[in-house]
Amino acid sequence: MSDFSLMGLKAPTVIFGAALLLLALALPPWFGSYHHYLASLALINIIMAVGLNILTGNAGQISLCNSSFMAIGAYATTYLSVKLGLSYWLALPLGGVISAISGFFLGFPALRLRGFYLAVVTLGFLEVSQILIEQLPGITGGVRGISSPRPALFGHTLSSDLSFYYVILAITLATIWCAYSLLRSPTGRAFEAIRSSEAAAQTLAVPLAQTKLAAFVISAFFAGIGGGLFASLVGFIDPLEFGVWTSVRHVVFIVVGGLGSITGSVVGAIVLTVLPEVLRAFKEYQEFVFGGLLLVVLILLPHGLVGLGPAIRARLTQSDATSVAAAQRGVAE
Amino acid sequence: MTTSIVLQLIVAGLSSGSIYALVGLGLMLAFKGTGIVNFAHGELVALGAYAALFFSVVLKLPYWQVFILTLIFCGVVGVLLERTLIRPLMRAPSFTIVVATLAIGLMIKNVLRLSWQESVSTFATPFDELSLRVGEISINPHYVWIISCSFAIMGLLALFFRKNLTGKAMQAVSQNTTAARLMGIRVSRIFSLTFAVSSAIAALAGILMAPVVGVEAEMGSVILKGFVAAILGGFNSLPGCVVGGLTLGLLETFGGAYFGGTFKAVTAFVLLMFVLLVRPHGIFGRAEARRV
Repeated sequence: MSDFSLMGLKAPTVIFGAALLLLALALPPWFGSYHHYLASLALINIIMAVGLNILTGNAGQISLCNSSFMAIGAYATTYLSVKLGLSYWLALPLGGVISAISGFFLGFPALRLRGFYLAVVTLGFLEVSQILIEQLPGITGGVRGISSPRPALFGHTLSSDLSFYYVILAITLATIWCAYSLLRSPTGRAFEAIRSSEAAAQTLAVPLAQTKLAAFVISAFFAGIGGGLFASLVGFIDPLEFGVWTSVRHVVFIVVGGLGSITGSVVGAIVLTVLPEVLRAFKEYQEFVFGGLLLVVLILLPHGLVGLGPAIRARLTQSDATSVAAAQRGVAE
Repeated sequence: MTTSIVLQLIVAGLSSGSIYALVGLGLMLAFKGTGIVNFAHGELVALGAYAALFFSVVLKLPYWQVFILTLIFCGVVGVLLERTLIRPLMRAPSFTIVVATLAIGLMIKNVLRLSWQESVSTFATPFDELSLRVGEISINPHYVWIISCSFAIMGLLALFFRKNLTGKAMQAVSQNTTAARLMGIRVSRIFSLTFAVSSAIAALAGILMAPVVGVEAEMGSVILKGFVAAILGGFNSLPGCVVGGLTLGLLETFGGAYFGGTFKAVTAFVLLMFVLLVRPHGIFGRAEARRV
């Protein structure tokens, strides 16, 4: 049973993923519009978390400006589809590409930086992107925001939350599949290599600059797509949506879920999208709860929620082993 | 542009610059002493401002008592933070440190926002009714107070590190913890002291800037300017950080006056990028050899 695997995935992951997918496909028609909206938000958060996790969890580069790329994707998609009249299905990937290009330009100076310097630069980038959103009202609507209508598919406007939910679900699945294939590719292996040791990776002929840039570009692309979907899901965007709090929330997703793990991104994004809704009575304490959660997970669960399973199993087998050893000792005596 | 306006801009630039220098100094001190880059430092600045607001508005204490009480209060908070939350993180990878200190900052910010919901957002200082005139020019006395107070504190700090035995011990710990421990320095006590001083400096920045910008939970964003000041100076030297902060303050103020608000807002980031690309070890720092 333990040898079972599908495309290199372990049995528990396959079963968990299949169950989750079934739920995601079958459950929504039974629920109301608010739940469809919430589920769509969770899916978009999965896209954001998967993208950030590639950069931070796999390639080991700290980023505190994921929400800036989300903003770039959101505003670009809205501008292209509303002001320039492009089809949404063309504007969305274009938004992703524009976000990826900005990721390239940020990644370029970031190549020489590591650790907290990178954190400072990305924090600065976030601040600048916020200011630019406010100062370019012609494109972004400034502080007053801009509305972003739902797209149409095959002549039908996806005005109901349920229909848009299924579209987002399809895109999210495609994203997860892309991320999964990427991480199994040589590029994905190179990400892991530069995270463990840049020097060792370089001696093994991993092109350091190229690999880091690739990580920045890919992660920004994912965030851009997520942002484009977010804009038309919510229907209205303003700079407040893309502040430092959003970036930190994305970091919380991947730390709580599990760094460097796609399953972790999915679990973290779902749990932390639903949790604030459950605890809505304590909305004022949200930052406090998220911060506390982050600290607890960092100190007690360095591998996040997905690290919990293996840790428990190890504990169980260990206690088995000790009891077996004790039994053997008893026999020997 | 007349000389009087230029002079006024210089004073304003120097005053915001000395705030940035103070914030950068606190960051640098904690980093050099303990190896922790404290992303909650901005929230400690805000905490200082809120504490001063509380002492002044609720307890109705005079400014000088508020001043001293706030510094002591924040120093104690710094020690508590170091003992409970920072100490377990000291050997963690830089990602964990960045994220954990960010989390601490988030929690402090939330507590501050919830604990003070009155509309009052500033406290009285002895400088409110003063007016300073030099010839034709009138100068905001707050600015003069900020500049002189920051410089006095920085001078005291420099003396402390050069002459005082405890200050020397702090330097020794920052250079080599093991060697310092072998020389009989109580390293863990020095760690706590470092955080106390760093938090007190943050609080000082908070008290000084509060009457000018008003007290609010988002004050913590000044941390970015502090980083720029410290990185300009190489994240390693006290005078470097001061010069970095003043440069940033002057550039921002003059840029804002000549080219408008957007320019002022992006100055810090552009300067940061420029320095990191051209001279990553800062204007005064030396390039460091790194062990692989």
